Amino acid sequence: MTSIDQNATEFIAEAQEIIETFSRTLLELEAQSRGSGPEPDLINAAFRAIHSLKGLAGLFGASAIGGLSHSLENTLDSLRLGKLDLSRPVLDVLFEAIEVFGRLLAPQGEEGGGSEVDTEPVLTRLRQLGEREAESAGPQDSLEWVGENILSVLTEYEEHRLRENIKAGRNLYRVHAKFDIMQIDVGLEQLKDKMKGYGEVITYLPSADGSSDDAIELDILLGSKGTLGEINGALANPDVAVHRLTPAAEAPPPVPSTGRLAPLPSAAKPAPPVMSEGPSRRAEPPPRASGPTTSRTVVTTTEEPDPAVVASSEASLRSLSQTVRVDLRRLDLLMNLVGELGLVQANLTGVLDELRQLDHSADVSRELRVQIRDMHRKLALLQQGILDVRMVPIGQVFDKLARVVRKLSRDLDKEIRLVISGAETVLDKLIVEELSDPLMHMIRNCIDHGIEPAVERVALDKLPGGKIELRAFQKGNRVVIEVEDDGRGMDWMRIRDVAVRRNLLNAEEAVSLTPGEAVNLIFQPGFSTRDSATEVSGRGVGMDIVKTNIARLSGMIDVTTDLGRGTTFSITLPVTLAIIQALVIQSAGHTFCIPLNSVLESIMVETREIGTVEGHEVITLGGRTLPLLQLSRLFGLRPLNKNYRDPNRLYVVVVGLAQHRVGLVVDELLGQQDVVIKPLGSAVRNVPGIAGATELGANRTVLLLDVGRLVDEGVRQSDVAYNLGGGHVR
Amino acid sequence: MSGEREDLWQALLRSGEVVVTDEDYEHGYKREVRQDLQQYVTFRVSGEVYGLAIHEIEEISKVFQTTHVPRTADFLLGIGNVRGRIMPVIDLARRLRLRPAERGRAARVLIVHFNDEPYGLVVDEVMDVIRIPPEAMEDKPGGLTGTRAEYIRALGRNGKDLVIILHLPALLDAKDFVKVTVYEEGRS
Repeated sequence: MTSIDQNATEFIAEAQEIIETFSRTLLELEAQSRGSGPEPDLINAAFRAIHSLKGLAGLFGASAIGGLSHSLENTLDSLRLGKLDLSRPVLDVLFEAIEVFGRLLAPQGEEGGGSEVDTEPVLTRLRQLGEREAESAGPQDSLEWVGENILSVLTEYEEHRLRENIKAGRNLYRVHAKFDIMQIDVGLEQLKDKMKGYGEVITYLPSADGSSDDAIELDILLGSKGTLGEINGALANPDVAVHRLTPAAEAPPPVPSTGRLAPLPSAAKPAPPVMSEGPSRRAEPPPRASGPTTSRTVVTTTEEPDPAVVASSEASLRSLSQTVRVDLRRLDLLMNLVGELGLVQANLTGVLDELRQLDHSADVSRELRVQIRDMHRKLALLQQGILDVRMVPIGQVFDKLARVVRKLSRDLDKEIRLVISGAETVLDKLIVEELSDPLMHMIRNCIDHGIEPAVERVALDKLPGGKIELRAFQKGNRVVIEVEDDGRGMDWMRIRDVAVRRNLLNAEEAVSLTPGEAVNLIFQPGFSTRDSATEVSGRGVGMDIVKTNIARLSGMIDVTTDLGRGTTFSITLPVTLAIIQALVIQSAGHTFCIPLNSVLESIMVETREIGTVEGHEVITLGGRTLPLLQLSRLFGLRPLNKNYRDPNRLYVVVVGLAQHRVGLVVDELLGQQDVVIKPLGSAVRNVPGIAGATELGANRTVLLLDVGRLVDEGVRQSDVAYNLGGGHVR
Repeated sequence: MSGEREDLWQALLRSGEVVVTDEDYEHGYKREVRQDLQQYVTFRVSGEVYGLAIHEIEEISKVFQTTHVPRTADFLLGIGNVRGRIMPVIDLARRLRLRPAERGRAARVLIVHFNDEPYGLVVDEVMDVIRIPPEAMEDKPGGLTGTRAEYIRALGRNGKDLVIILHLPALLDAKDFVKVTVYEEGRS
């Protein structure tokens, strides 16, 4: 059973990957279709993605997916052949297909399952697109001047592109290039990249007799607006020669008429007149022998229907063989093992210390110390290596969100522009996975409540279309993700009033509330209920859940809003959860870890510096009032009566984000350590203030504090005083 | 105790198919176990005899160190770590609201599996593995009422002795673990 299961999961993973690529390409195409027009390469990429999906589905007998990808492939083929325009309705159907794929893959418990999903509607729509195909073939211009030898080997698609290029008034060039046989993939790719800046590569043709044993010569058909001089300058390379092809009506080209793509004369001789500009001169002429290499290239190029495939198939083949899909749980296992090895190492160090007490073993202990230090270094490298493997770009989630934005903006008939930056920022795979739901929530809220309808926006002197910015960037050892909209913002006074109505705070407390504090009330459980979501001008669907989810990832969420201008949510996350740096502290004889990324500073405070505000202890730090929280009291721990420290001095660990800070009063600071975080089981996962557990040597389990939660408690304690009836534990 | 007394190891051997003995080779792996004979591990908590189905128990361990978790119910001794796995460890006596007995050398932790997660249950003493045919099981603890009834799945008759079979889902209900009042206390 396992092999089938494994096949199924592999299939799903691979299919999902292809569909994600496809979706990303479509989004890009959509953007282009509004601007300069779709890039043929992208349509090709989409076509290829679906083509491989079809093949994959056939391999695994997933007939529904195979059928859909087959129809989709036809539509995309029409698109790339210009038989169909990439219009909005076409895009809609394509996006719909993505959703259907998603559903087909989702419930796939059994092999080839997911059969309850009805693919018929989308298939019908795809067929209708096919019927709509423009039969606007019309009289075609003669292309004879290009040379029959070229025309005869062009595929339908290539010919279409050739005509498109001529229609666009581009010049046609034949670029003759020679590559070392060992490096043709690299060289061709480089050349192609260079040429792309100037125009479109229409096809590659093998040069009839221009090949030797260790070199391959190709003719590349390039459509470009540039002049011969420009192209020649751009491709400056002794192994490349450029010729311009012109219709017979104009200057008759000397080259294309000379039969099968005139081989260039042996290059050491002076360049013939066509190779006008200087730099294109070939180096040593290799001995000629049109042996097997030539025929091989001929086969490749003529049978391959798609020009881009020639070059990129090599690239993709390589990446396939170098990529390994790994179950995240296996990495967790490795991570745990590394963590345990770290403990073994700590124990070894302990043994070493004992050994050193014994005089006669000085040599042995010195050797042992060297070895342990070496092991420590290697362990650190190993740990880093495993961590790196877990890192994925956050763009994966952003792509999904782009689809959500697209769908919602159409559903709600609001035009939304999504601006994404920092998609390449890497985060632990686990975090990226867990982020998609909260971010989805937030984006939904942005579109649903934040962005005003177009009419309203125009009246406010805003652009009719709304804008949502999604940013990710690294900041120290944290990653910040921001979601910003230019909608109506949130009215803090209305939020405050709703909070009072919901008994989250009483009238007196409300009076003393600052705008910033009021806005943060949206994260309160109990603030967001269904009716308030429609009633309050701002947002409110499950922001408390969003906050809880973020906190579970050791992250914090913050909101700033400008009434009438928009709202920005900012999420701060650790780069990874698997291993973090922690500050180890002690309170009432219990040891805890605090994630170092939320520690601002640790200070020593004299008891006389402590003041009280409404019965709550505070200190003044940097000109601001900092509420103090006694960790032992917070956790109901009985303080030890040990006088191991000066009773007049307290250790205070300042934790939190910029405007929400509290000082945790602890007994001891024990130092910093890299710790491997382990999840608590479901029974204790929801203990407020506790985020996880870790091992600290000698099989000692230590709890990790949920700083976000403690900061909340601290801020609320001092600002709103107590008796928030609604603050019940989730 | 009457009925089928068996060594714990023997029973564990028989319940799982992973362990192969010489006998297995001789009999060509065809050892039949009566399907309807459920096996139970019995143990003592505050003088009473309780049982859990053998398949619910993953391991029996000596008592190990636990870390206290603040803001949790008093029956939770804390979290423990068995070979890298973190699990909540429960004082069964307190959970069943019995008077806790002195925990002696015989005390053990039953590591049980519930909803794919391990839990530790501290008991005073592990006693036996017994087989109870379905007909000797009393599904509803009819006459038995009181606060503990919710944790009891059935009463098993083992000869003339009664074994209280515990109901793990009730025993390990996540909502009981977190002390709800603690949040308000913490702030006062």
